Amino acid sequence: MLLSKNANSKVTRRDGYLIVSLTWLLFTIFGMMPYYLGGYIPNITDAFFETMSGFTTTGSTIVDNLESFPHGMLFWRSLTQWIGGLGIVIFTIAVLPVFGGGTLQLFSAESTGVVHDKIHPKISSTANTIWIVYLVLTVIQTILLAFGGMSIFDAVCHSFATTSTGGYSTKQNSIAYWNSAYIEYVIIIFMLLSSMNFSIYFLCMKRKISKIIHNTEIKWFIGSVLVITLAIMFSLYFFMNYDLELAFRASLFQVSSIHTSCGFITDDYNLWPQYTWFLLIFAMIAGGCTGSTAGGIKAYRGAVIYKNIRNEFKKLIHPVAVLPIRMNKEVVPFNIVGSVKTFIIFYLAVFALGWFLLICTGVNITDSLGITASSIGNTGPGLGTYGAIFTWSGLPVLAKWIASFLMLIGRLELFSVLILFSPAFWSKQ
Amino acid sequence: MNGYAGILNNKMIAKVLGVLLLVEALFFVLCALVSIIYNESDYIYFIYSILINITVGGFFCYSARMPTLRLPDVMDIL
Repeated sequence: MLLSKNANSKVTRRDGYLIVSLTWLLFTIFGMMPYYLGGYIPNITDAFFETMSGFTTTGSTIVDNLESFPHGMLFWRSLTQWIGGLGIVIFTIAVLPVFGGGTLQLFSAESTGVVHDKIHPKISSTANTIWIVYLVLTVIQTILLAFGGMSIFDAVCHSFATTSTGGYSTKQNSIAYWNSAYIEYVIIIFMLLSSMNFSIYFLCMKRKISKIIHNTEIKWFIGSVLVITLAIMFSLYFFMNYDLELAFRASLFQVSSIHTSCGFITDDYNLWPQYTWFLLIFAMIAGGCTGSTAGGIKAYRGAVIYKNIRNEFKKLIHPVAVLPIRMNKEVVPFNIVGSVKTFIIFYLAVFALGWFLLICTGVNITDSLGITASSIGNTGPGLGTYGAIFTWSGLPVLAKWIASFLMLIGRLELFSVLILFSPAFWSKQ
Repeated sequence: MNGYAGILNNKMIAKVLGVLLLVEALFFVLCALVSIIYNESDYIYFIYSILINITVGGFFCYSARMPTLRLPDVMDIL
């Protein structure tokens, strides 16, 4: 193998950001080759979109005839999500420790979240543990889905798409194809497990269960999923004539799918009351937990911002009070609170810009809202014409490129990609 | 020091990208195997993709072994 031993193995932060962005771009360009060469997606824009949607675990598709795809292509489609879920570079660090002194910079540039939990002092060991957790979740889910009547092939592909919170199915009707409560509950459980910080599984192995129970981020995330589920469930039960179990299952599945940024579908939520759309858009933006495969702003940041706002109100009454923000019973440093605020403001600004640009391409205002939230949050389905049961094949070409870019910056949490457009990045100073 | 205005380690960037493209080729091997197991003819497109990835990834890795790598050199080779 042509491994270059002569290269100086030092990787600076600049190199790390450039490598990670280029890696995702190159993986997408080369990853679309099988679709394009085989003529399954004969258009470069569509092939790029489908592959980017796969690697970034967004799950939006332009394919209208999924059942006509051969097994190899369907497997590649699901595999792109599985690779991208963990992170292309982290995946490689875990499996092939070949990057020497550059591992830390590459890991930091690709990792999402606010604070990066180092499970082991060595980054390659941390990546290895995360990879093992990821693999174990995938294998267990595959077995459970196979028990529920899925073929082994479908079970593997859906496990890839669930643990990565990607959402690509092998069927055009997604999970609704099986019409099985068992399969839906299994997928709900694994969507939720995959969108929690992977370091909690390490705590599980160390039997530090109380730390998991008192984890602020998990409480916020599960709380949000339950509140939105109940709100939608009552709506389906009282206004849509669903029976109670179906209303619970349909709302829990869809909320889990959207909140975890997975994007599987069992019901057409376009037909649900419009206030539920608002809740689902909120879930798309909020996303899962840090250190997981989920997209969105993440529950940690949401909790910090809420506590910060609450403290601002308290300061109006007690101006000289020192009110620290605590997460997991530990004080969050001011610089972290500052970076959380910056991230959220920047996220909303990019969101607004993406929404505006999509409107400029001719997509209507509701549809473009759904596409923006879905792309930047790496969720998958949007609203209206590009909603739950529809593909995105009808999007204008420019809109597909904008959505692809939003997926990439959303997956790498904005800064890792957008820093390349900053003059400071290219300056020696 | 080499690289863009002396601030980037081009050799290491080329090495990492080269290795990652070779890793992607390994994933294509898995997909080709799935196609062969299901007796489908689309494995050939994965073989093409593997060859493309090995060529480009190998080129990146080889570039990292060269004494110096500057953008004009790459352009000359291309």
